[in-house]
Amino acid sequence: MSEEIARNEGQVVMPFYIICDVSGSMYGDMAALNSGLAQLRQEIMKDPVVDDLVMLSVIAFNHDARTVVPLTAPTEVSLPQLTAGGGTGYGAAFREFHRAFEEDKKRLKGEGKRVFRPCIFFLSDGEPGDTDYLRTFDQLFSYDRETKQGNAAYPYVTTFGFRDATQQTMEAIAYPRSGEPNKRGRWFIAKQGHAVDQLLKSMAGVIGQSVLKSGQSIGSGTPTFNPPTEVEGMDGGGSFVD
Amino acid sequence: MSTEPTADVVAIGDPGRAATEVGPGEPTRYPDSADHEVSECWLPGARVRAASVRGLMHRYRSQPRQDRFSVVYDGVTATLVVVVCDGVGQFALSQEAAAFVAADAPRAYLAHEDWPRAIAEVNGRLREFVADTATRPHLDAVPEGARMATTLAAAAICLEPGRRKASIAWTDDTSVWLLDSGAWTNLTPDPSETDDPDGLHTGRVQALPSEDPRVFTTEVPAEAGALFVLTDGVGVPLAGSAQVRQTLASWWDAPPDVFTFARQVGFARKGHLDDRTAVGIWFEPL
Repeated sequence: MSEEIARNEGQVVMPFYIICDVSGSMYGDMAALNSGLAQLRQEIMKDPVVDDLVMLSVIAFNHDARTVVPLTAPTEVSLPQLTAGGGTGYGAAFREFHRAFEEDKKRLKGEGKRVFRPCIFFLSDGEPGDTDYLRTFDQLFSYDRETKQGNAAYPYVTTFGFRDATQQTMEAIAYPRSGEPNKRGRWFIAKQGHAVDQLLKSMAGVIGQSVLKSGQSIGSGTPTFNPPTEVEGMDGGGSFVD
Repeated sequence: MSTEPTADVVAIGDPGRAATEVGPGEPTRYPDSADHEVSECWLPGARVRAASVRGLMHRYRSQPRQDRFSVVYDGVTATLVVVVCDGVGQFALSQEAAAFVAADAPRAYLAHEDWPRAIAEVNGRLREFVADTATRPHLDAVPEGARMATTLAAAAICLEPGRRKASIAWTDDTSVWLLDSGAWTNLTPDPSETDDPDGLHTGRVQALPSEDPRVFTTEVPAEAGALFVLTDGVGVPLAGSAQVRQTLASWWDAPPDVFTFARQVGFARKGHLDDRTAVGIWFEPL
């Protein structure tokens, strides 16, 4: 065993994945999105307790998807400047998350760490161009507790939709039909007349608070994902029974 | 968060940021909850060191230590009874449940000389204790329906020559370990574990009080080595890290002085921020 692995073996990790729409329609919002991600990282780094307990990753998607920040401790995150272009394919984002988390889980468990259920914050300004995105979602993340068939490591998903994104789509992703009955999904959709740059700032703020509250729960021995409960300028819905 | 600088930390591996940046916490609203608690004793056949240390998370959030322990000796039966309790963190008053069970379980064991019966009785009395919460003095008003819960690990060690044995009981993730010749053995494996079948960590527990307490028991010889009764603040890093096992084995090969023991129990390791409690019983030949 390497010295580095020995130094951190046994650590509990709560992994958070921020999946951001960077399709062409987001062109005018990229400064606000980049600023929001930087603000989010700063907020989490202020808290030394949570900084020890959580890991962050950022996945950017348009018609394709790529991991732009591999899962790592907030202090070690290096944020790139995201740019916009292309179409909107949710399926690509789900596949990239699935690939990344499977690799991350294998790596972290290989390092002797204990991995909490992954939590996704999904931000999009539009409806998906791929019509079979829900089928992709189900194929990758559905789980039947009775038969124990499917992906037991399915994520908790919180969605944020604005501009052309619809409540129906956001809700369908946040609250899939399968999985445990009390899974912790939430959806939010922008109210009319709110500027996207302000919405992105609000989203970054509530994501930061959610990560902080969730991270602090690890240290008390009972890790619990605390999803955002409200976002300024957005309507939302809870989709779990606590 | 405290602005007082932290003292040099005793670390095993990567201490993390919290251990070096979070100092003593603010005073709490619970006057019966010291940050740290130590105890030591000697009796024919055993030496005991006990320490309970407020975790970094509780210091950071200005919450009290929720672990408790008790050590008593019954001369008539030559029985040393050690109880360690871990208040469930999601309930604000769980330290009261932990303190109640730590105080009552030795009495119940000595009355019944049987852990399942003793714990069933303590569980029932704890339910009454919880129901009476609002009638006890508190600095702040107790919310209606306030809940509390605790896990437990206990050992009743008969030190009578020729009959030396340890009767062990535990619920959930509190644990009892044997350290002998530098090697650790977990005497209290949890059949349900806290990782689900896909290997994701859940941390779920079923604590006291419970409609149907989940109590496990075992019995081992109490002749050689040392027995450690632990809350998960120590047991989890011990189970999960070879480096922790090796380091604690070297530190606790023989009983250290009790203040050194307390600093060691509170060792820093990244991501392990829970309260820490350990009671070590080093057996000596008679």
